[in-house]
Amino acid sequence: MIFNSFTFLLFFPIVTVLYFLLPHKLRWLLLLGASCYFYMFFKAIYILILFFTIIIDYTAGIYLEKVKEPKKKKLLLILSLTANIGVLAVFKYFNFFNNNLSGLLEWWGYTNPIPFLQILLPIGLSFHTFQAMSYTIEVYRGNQKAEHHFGIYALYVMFYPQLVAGPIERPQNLLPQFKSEHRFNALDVSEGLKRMLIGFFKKVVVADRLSIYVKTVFNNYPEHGSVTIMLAFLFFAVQIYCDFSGYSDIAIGSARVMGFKLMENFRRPYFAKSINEFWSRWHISLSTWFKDYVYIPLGGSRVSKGRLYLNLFAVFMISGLWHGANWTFIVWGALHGFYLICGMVTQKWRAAIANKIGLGAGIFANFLNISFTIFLVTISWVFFRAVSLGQAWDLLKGVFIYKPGFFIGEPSYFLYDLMAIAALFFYELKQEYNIHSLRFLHSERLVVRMASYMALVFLILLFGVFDGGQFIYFQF
Amino acid sequence: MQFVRKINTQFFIRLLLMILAFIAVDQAAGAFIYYFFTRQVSGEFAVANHVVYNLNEDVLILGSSRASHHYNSSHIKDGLKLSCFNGGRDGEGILYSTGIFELALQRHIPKVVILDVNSDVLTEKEDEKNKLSILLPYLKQSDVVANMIVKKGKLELLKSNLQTYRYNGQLFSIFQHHFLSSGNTVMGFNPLDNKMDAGRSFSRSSSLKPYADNISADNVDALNLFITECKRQKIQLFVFVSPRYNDDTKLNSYLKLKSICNSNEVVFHDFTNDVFFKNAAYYSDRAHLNSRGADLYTDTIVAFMKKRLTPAVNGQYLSENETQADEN
Repeated sequence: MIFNSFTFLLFFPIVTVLYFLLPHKLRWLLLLGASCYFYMFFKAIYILILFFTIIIDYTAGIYLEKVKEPKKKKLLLILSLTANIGVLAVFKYFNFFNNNLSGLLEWWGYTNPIPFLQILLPIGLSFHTFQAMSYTIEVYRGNQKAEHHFGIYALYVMFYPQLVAGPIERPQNLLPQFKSEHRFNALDVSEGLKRMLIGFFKKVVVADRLSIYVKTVFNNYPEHGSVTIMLAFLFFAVQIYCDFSGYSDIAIGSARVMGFKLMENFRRPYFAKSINEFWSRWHISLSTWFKDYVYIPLGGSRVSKGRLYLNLFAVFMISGLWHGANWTFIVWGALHGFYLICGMVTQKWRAAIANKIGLGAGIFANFLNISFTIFLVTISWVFFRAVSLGQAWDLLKGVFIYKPGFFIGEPSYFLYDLMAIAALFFYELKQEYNIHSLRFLHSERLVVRMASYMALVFLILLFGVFDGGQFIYFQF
Repeated sequence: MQFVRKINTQFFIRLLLMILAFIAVDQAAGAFIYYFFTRQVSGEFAVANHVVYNLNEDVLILGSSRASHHYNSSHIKDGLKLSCFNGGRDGEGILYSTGIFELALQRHIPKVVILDVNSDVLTEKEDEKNKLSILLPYLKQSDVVANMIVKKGKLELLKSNLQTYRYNGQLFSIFQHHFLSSGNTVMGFNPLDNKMDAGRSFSRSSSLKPYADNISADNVDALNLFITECKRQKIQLFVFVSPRYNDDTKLNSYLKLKSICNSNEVVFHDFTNDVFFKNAAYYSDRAHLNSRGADLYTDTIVAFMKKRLTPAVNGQYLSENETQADEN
């Protein structure tokens, strides 16, 4: 089931009402049943894969707690992680590596005897695998007690709001929340619904509206001029942000209605003044996952500079591969690693030059830094969106080798695009700089608040794209 | 505890009030938009509105963009001495054509209908049902529209109870075409004035790759319904596949289309391989004739139809011709 479907708009209130009607001891059962139903909307049989990893990690957790010998503990952890990564390797990466092997063997004049798997990638596999892995790692480290209630553990992996596209939760935050009783709280419900409304707006009014233009240009880029392609790049940068952060808003909001507090996943990333800051604002649950479970175990910042850069680059390459089994994603990750290292290497002399010409601080300096960060990120999104490295290269050539022509498409749709971006910018600007005037959704006056909710609903109904389909990040 | 209870009660009262206010505003906004919707002076909805609310012509043309751009209503009117309106619409298939045809029949029965189709008219297409949303503003006009809308999704009718949802994505276009007339549509015919770019007019045969298509049961039902209605209302139906520059691949859909037309004794003619029209100068792009090509094609089908009009329609055509000859 996808959040931007009418089915979800029926599913959500039914589950929520039942949740508050049921006694606390039965609620986990309702949520687990609802989560299974939610997941099985995509491809029912794949729930078995989820239960395979759930059983393994649940058992590993219990034994990790029981076993005191470090070597045995390590072995248990390795077994659990291998099972999780193994599932990812089979379903997500097997065909990719096999395809590369075929290319390599062909180059040497051989034929690859290994057949390709005819399987679909289970939806959100990378998300719930990483969440499950964080559980066993935390139990291994002694930061989390093993969960003995199988149902609660299964719910930790399968909790429907964040099952298919995060935020990737940590056991310390989520597991205790299933055990504490949540009474109906008007404030939580109101805040949750508001958050969901904003998420729907981002997804159906901004992301899916922009995707029409983006798809038209990307699918026929040789026919378009440089300005058009550049605009499609920028639109895609906004589209992917609204698509993913919209999903996170709906996930966080729908959990909040039931009294659950999920971690924040985005903090207005396009206001970041550097790539380093961008990654502290974009997909926070994944970047902190990589920081805690990959970057710090590799030595973190307490290593030589050369090793630090190598570690950072490796982490971003893995992050790219996490997103998708394609060289485009690996290059996207590598590009971010490269940006980050360049930023670190040049930080001192950039600051010195900026101070010398009077651009060390202030609004204009911030504006320049934000713009340059957006430029770098937008360029990297080209690799993320392209189907092959060749296409990404052609698209970039399309911008940098000037070709005249400007495509608008359906004028009213183009106008909707610009209005949606303007509305988003206004909303994010207010949040970023804590502008207290024009609070609309958070106004102290009830009439203004109510009118704002209704306006948002009508904007969604009138300008939303209701056949936009899945969220981009579902494929990961 | 009492404070929490008070807050919660207050929340439910406010929620209820908001839902009631929402329903009232939705109804009012729906009626407001509908007013402008039915009074558009140009654009695709103005064409559709004419078919639904004001059709009084003898010949009705339906189909996709190729119908809209290929059939010059004036040439048909002059050639057949029958008034004509072109109700073709960009990007739409048989589901839309059948829906709008049913709506037209509510108040007027044309004598002749030309249905322009592509060879893949019965092929299962992912987004064809989604496009049925444009029939939502006409929902209250006919049950057939409701039956069509259901094909998009089981819950679509439930959603369409929201009046504003019916105009999703159309608001600016409605106001634009209400206040500003744009486009050069004449009796529904929308000529394309440009010539196909010689640089882009690639090899004709390379443009379509053959594939084994799946037949859509909904599209077959819609075509059968279209034909049944024509028979029931004694409307003479012509099904044409109009010319295209590139060679057209014969799909399963095409074979099915031909067999349905043959078994129902519907006049069917395919112009895609007509050598006369394999001339880049007649095209706006690979699949669309420009105004010059459209005029030539319309004259061709007028000559074709003259020979095949049923006595009832032909009688009118002949008597009007004779009257004109007498006057001359």
